[in-house]
Amino acid sequence: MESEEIVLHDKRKNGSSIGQKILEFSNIWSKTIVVLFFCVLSIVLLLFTSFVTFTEPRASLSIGFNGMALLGILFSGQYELHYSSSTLDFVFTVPQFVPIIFLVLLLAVVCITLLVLWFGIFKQKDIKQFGWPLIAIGCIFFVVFILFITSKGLRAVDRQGDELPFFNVYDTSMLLVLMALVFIVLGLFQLLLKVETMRRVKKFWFSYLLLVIPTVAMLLFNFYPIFMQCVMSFKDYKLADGIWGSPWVGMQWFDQIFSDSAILQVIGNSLYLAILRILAGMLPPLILAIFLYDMAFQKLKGPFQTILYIPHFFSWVVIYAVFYAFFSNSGAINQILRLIVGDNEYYVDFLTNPKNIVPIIIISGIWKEVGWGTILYLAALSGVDPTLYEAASLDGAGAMRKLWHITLPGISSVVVFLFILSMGSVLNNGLEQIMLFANTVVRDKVYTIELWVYNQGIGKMEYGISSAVGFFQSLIGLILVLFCNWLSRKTVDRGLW
Amino acid sequence: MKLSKGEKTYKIICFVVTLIITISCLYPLLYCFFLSFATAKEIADNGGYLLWFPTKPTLLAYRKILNSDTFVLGAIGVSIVRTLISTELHLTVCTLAGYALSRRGLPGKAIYMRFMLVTILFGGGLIPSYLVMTELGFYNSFLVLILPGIFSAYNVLIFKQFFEGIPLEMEEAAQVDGVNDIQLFSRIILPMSKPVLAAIGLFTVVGNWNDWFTAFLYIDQEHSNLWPLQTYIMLIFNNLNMLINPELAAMLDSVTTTESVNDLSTRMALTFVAILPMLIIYPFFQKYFTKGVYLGAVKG
Repeated sequence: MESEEIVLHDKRKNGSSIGQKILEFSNIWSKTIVVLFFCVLSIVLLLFTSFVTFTEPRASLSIGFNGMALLGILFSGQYELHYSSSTLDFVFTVPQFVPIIFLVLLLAVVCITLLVLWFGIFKQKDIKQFGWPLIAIGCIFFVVFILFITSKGLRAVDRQGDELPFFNVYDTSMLLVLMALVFIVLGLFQLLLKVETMRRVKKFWFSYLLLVIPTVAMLLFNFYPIFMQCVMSFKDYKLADGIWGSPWVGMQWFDQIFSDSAILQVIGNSLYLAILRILAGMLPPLILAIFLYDMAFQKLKGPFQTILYIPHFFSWVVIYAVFYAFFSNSGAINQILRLIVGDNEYYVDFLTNPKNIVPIIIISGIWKEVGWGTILYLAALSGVDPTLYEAASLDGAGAMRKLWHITLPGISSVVVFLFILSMGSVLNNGLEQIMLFANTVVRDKVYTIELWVYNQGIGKMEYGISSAVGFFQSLIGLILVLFCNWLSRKTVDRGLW
Repeated sequence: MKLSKGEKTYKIICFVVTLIITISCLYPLLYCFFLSFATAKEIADNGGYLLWFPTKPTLLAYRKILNSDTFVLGAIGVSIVRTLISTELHLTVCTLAGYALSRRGLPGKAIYMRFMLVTILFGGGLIPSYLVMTELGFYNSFLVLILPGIFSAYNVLIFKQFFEGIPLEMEEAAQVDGVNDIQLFSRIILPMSKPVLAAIGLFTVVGNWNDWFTAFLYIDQEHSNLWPLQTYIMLIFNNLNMLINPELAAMLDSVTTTESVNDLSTRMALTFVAILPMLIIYPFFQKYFTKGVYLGAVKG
């Protein structure tokens, strides 16, 4: 710390006084300039991009209004507009509140821009006090947007002259949400960031540059779907209407989920299968790890592990192929059974009998992951103090007693940790394996949530209810993981984060 | 230390059980391998199965599937190109993000980490993701096989964790020598991170090579030339009847039905082609991946 200060001090001494002044200047300005940039950008966007769009799905017609057009309407007082094209010719009325609300929004942004300009640039102050006004403007944008897309009280007249809710006649631009977010972020930025921190931000510009692509990818591929899911679960989503055009349905999907016995059955299936899967994912690797750790000929341990890990690297397609080669009606197992029984037509129906599907799915899961699952246990086992075993041997303890009193207590915290964490996925079964193994004959037994969502959503295009089910599943998963993590911290003092 | 008799038996039992499990992991693969070389006659003579390498091995099955008329070579090409590009991009993006987040005193780091944690704990689910991809114009495009997997919060956290473990003194020494951020990363941090790069690289390669579902979901049957190998194998084994396009169904069917080799042999040959790259790269990465697993488990 001290050396850093000395270096800074030296730099100051050596740096030219003009350069020094520019540096000081830009430090105070840096926040102001960021805010001004976004304010001016917002004004330009508001004025020159489409604010609301008049839509007429039946005539596949849409007329966009940008800010300039709205201001023109407001000041000329001409709310009735003539539209004519080669096929259509009609008059429609722009609702009065649209230009007025637009003017209010625009004035708010212009005012804050001027204030920031005055205090930040001319008075050279830290413009922290504008944090709350910026957040307020963001919230107003957001409220206006929500009103425009949901309120039944705001009316508009469509081409036929019928009075309908505004959102049925006009599309509202997503620009409003974008601006709401920008202003809220700017406000927080003003409130939380000190000028001192801005200096550090500049020092780390390279790191921020590196984070641009990950941030974009995260927003597009993670947060956008999460956001869509939260909205779609309360809407009757239709592809043609888009996410904002589709009507809100409140809790309808969730009521349907909990009253439809078929869906409840699906949830029950998932729960049953996942519990079996968790047990099968925990116990066999644990036993195998102990055996590997205790076995004779320790030199073979390495080669064994190498082989045991292999199936983990295969896709479910390959696992299914291997199971098919062994368990299909003409597969190896059945051929051998035929020899034993002596009847050429004899076979056990492994893959297409509803009775056998659950064991087959569990066994294939064990086969794929048993070796891989030992890694963490083996790591824990290697942490057990070897002198304990020697001491126990001197005391005359046998193999079983050592296993019971030294080995198991030694790794119990890892076991508990893994078990608690796996409880977080008690509704998840993964889609790939089920899709491969669940042919039409056996499907009912293993009709899990994922498969149901796939069939309803992708197959039957019932986007609303299937995303509601997905939302329910994710939410339960989240709650369980948070709870289990808390529990794991309490009990074995280990957590995920 | 001398072992008692009971202890010896216990250790032997452990060994035998482990041996059996190991064999049961290995043998099915060998079985597939044997089958793929067998002639139809030998399988039939043997009573429909084959427990050992065929006495008259034949490459007919491989010749059949790798014939230039079939889809297989193209699908292998798609798989390889897709795996290479997306692993490369994924590693670049995740290491750079991990490096940025490992800088000490980066303002906003805690908030960013919290956002990443959200993506790990809460997923968007199948349907919204599907609609987003469609909206972005990724449907029936090669990009869908690459871009969605470009970022993984989990791997970024692992990289960050690893980079934070690199001693501060090394960086300071480099900075005294006048090394800038880019050089620091490429000359000092990256060469030190070979193990974690290898581990995550392996997992990414495996994940991409094995992924059939993305193509199955986002690329329709009219664009089957964009399907990776695994998607084809999935359809051949499981769901030929769900193909709407009759030409495609006939093509897939023709690959597996031949006269001189059993259709199981061609299927197994196809499976073996699909696992061969994994078997080849696996030994080179083996010493690294356990490290990757620990890093992931210690702090996720």
